[in-house]
Amino acid sequence: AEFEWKMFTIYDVAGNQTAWARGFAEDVSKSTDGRLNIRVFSGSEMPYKGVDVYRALSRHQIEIGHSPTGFIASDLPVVGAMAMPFVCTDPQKFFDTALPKVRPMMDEAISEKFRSTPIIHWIMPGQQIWSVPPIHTLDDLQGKKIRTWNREQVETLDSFGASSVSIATVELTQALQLGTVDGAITAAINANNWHWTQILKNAYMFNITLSHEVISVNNDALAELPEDVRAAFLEAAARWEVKFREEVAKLDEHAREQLTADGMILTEPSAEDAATLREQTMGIADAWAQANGDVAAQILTGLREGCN
Amino acid sequence: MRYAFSTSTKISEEFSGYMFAIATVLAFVPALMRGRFLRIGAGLALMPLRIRAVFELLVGLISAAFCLVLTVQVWSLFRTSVEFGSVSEGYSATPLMYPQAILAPALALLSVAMLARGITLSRELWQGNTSMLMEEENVVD
Amino acid sequence: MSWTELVILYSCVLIGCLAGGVYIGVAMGLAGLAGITMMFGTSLWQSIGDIVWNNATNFTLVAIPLFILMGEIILQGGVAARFYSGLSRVFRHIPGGLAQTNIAGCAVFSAVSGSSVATAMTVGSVAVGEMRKRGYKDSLTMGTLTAGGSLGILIPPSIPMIVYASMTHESVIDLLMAGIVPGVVLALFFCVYIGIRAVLDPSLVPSKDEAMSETGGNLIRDSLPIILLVGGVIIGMYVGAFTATEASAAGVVLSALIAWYYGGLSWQAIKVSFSNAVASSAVIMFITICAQILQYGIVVTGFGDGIATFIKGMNLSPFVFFCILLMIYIFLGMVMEGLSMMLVTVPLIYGPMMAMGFDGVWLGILIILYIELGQIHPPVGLNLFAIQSIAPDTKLATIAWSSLPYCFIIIGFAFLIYAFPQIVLWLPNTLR
Ligand code: NA
Ligand code: NA
Repeated sequence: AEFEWKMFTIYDVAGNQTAWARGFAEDVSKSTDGRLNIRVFSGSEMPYKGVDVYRALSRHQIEIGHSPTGFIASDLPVVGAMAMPFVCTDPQKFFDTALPKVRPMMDEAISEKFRSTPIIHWIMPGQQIWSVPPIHTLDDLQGKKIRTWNREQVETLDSFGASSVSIATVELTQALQLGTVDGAITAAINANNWHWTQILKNAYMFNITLSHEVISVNNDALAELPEDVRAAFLEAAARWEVKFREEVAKLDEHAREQLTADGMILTEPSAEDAATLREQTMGIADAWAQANGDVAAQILTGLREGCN
Repeated sequence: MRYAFSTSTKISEEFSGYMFAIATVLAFVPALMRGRFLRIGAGLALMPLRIRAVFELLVGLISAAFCLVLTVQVWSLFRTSVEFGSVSEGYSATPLMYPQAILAPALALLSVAMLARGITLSRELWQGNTSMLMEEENVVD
Repeated sequence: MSWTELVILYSCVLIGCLAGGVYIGVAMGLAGLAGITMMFGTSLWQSIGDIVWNNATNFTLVAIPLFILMGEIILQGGVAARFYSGLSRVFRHIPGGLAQTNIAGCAVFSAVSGSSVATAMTVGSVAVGEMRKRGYKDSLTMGTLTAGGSLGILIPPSIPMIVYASMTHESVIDLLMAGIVPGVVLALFFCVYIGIRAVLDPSLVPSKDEAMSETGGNLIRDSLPIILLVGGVIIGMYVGAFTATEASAAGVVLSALIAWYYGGLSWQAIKVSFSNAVASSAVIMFITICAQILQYGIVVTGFGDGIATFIKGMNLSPFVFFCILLMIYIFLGMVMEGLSMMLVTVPLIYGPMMAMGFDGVWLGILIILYIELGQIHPPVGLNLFAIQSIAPDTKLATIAWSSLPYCFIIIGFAFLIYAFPQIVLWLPNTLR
């Protein structure tokens, strides 16, 4: 092929997300008549951690990179708005109304910081609390040790008397089994992939956040493409944004069915608890916006308006 | 204890990672100087002293060049961290440039040490003095 | 470049450098660098910065120096000498004598440590001096340590198993359980071999008279400190007081307390322990970083992809495929470090092997066995290096020769689990 690109995703070789990335790469190859070839590398195949992906992208170590914005936010805080509790927990509204409002701002920030162009935005479905001892109400959180991913989750749990624990992802399943932690926050897809029905039976299904993810392409690499190849590439990316969205929804549904079939008890929060939680954690997002400037505030407002 | 001081242990966990990185990388040079860096000495042991002296010089040069590549690339990573203002993903949000700033000079030192060791070994062997090899016991005979 | 050209390039650079006396880490790193440079020029050299940084700060590696430190404290504090004199009374009646305790010690310590290097080095730092003092030959002792150490990744906890599980989405719990029976059986095989070897060549172990004349200690009293230490760490881990990685730190604290209680913890002992532990981990760290550069080179140049496509095209039967896989791992084991081997191969072979009907958990255990094999055969074998770094006056060749018989035992064991997959799958299936 005329152009050989490397695409890095943080997902593992067995992950569906990696399979979709390969599907996208195949589509690109086909729609450019084989002139642009993309080789997909999964999480463990390259020496980058989640936080390194966009740094590697900006230095053109890879042409295409895929990472949750939670990781990107350690270099570029404004893209981390989706990590704020309850800013946007409805996938439908996120794609239909919220994303169009904030996309230009986010894309510009990423482009400026990382010399890369976002081509696909998508989300992993809602993150819930999975636990060994039953947690069915907010009061049950009192005194529990929960593994968290970011500062906002720490603050959220703090406000309900739970303590947050940081444990590396690879050690998490074992830590849950041995009782080093009582529970962890993650999405149903992960809980299913990690076979958590073997070690725990309780899920408290209030969606705290959706994990927002962005796939971007290095600007120099994109500029190097001839007009027609670039157009075909960008069209393929647009097609796959839709596809990713559909596939994630299907996968989430499948994961929930599978988990339930294997004996997981999925508890929806009561309306009262949901309202309390939302109210108590409201300040976290506001404080974040205040700390990170105008663009952050605008993105936060855009997401909130679009999702409510 | 973890639960009583959950914030502080979270940070100490992360810092123990940096401490560990810095301690081991700083230990590269003394380990090398004590002949602890591993290599397969069977080939060298077969060579006449003066030929071996040439090889030792080459080994020193090659190793120094390799470590120089490591040094330059870690330095460039450090520059990227400065440019991006990168902080760790952990709870402490430590600016990565600080631990990285120590790593690069430590590797540069290793590079110099590799070269110095190659030159000294080579000179000693050329002059017929094999006492330096005694510390690399696996290399003799 | 095609994959065949890349094989030649990687092999030439590596073997040339190793034969010419270049440091092992440098040789691996240069081979990787050569591949990357031939394919991409210098544009991808930047990734070396990521490799150095991410390996140097890798939390799972932090456990290794801590475990070594624990071993050093046990040794310098005099607890080790006490332990061996306590055991020597009992073991002088068993063929192989104290050499058997190395395997047993490694097997027990494996329940604490998730790494074979940490296991080999901890037990090794305690054992080498004590065994020599008692008249055991290095050619017997060294193999028991490298091979015994390899049990560290088969008996849970295990870093490579966790990595495999996260790559393939196999169940971590199933994998960890699946390692127990093979780990114990393999340890027994090792012990049987040591017994036979000692009977056939009595010069390897001290004569009965020598062993008798030693002022043997009291079994219970003298081995109690070590039992308390290892037992404490295991219990602490299994009641959830700390994670597998934190177990290493708990071990250091506990061993220091025990050594202090028995009056062996001088300031001098602490200093020596610390400096030995740091030097040993620096040596292993340098090799680990460089091994990652080679791994990156192999992945990013498409070398692995090329071979995988080639083999897939041959339409092999499962058994032939199993045999070819063994050869590939033996070859990779000559030039690469264990975890790198896994990171290179699993993405390529997992899919095709599942399609052939192999079990994912079984495959995980097989790969762990192959990693163990790679760790103990030359020229590149991390356990060999680990033991040499704590016994610098021993030739690498002695360690390698001493380890070779265990390679055959492991290969034989791989065929055994091919014939009887239940050895692996029985426990996880029963517990499910
Ligand atoms: Na283990
Ligand atoms: Na090997």
